[in-house]
Amino acid sequence: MNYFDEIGVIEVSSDKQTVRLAKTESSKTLIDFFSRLILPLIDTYLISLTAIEQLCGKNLVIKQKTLVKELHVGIKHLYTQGCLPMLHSCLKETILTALTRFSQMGLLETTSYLTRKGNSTNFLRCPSECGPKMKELQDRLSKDRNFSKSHQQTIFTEIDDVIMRTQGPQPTARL
Amino acid sequence: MSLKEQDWHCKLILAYYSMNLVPALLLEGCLSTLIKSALSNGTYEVGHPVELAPLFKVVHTYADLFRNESLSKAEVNDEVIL
Repeated sequence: MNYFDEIGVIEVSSDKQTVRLAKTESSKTLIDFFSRLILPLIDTYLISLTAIEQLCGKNLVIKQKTLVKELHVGIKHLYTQGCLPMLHSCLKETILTALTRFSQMGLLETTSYLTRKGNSTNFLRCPSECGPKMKELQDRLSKDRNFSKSHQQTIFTEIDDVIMRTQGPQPTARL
Repeated sequence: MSLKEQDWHCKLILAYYSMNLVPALLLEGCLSTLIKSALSNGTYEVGHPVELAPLFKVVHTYADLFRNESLSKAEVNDEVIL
């Protein structure tokens, strides 16, 4: 905030109780620049959070690697549909960091198994107790991200597809 | 190079360089997102003073969420935000 005060974007009162946005053209440009700088991060976290909310309380266990891969594909698809403005929202590393952070925050339960080759395979599960905390966080991000209704609908549909793809091929009924 | 490819090329170069800035300017980005959203929702008008305390609470939420993306692993408190 001190940095913003120094470059004249905001004005902090002398008693440090209130703040106001400066009435200059440069402040608007800088606010726009900084918000666009972290926009892909917010998009990745919001979409990852919405995806794990779909798992909440459903007793679904998903392989982390598969979820990361499918989210990556899903975000790329959302970009081509024009829902997301930046392609680098789809980075697998950022998705993995987001899921790791959600695990650290207690929103996800991670179970690791060692493979014969010495690698570890992580499985994710979302306990129902995390629902309210997750909803609160999702509301905060959605409020600030401010997607249009149609884009929101497209995102939800895509996330449903992502979850379905992580389940693997559905068994077909034999006649 | 066609115009489309050139555009993609530019976008990816810009994305590549902007990503390096994100960890250093994470809190500024969160604050800007908050201001921009309040301006677009019509809940805030340019030049009007707002209380710092509720703003701190939201920035805390963001700082906690993006903790693994930040360069600094130190606890984010009101002093750090200010």
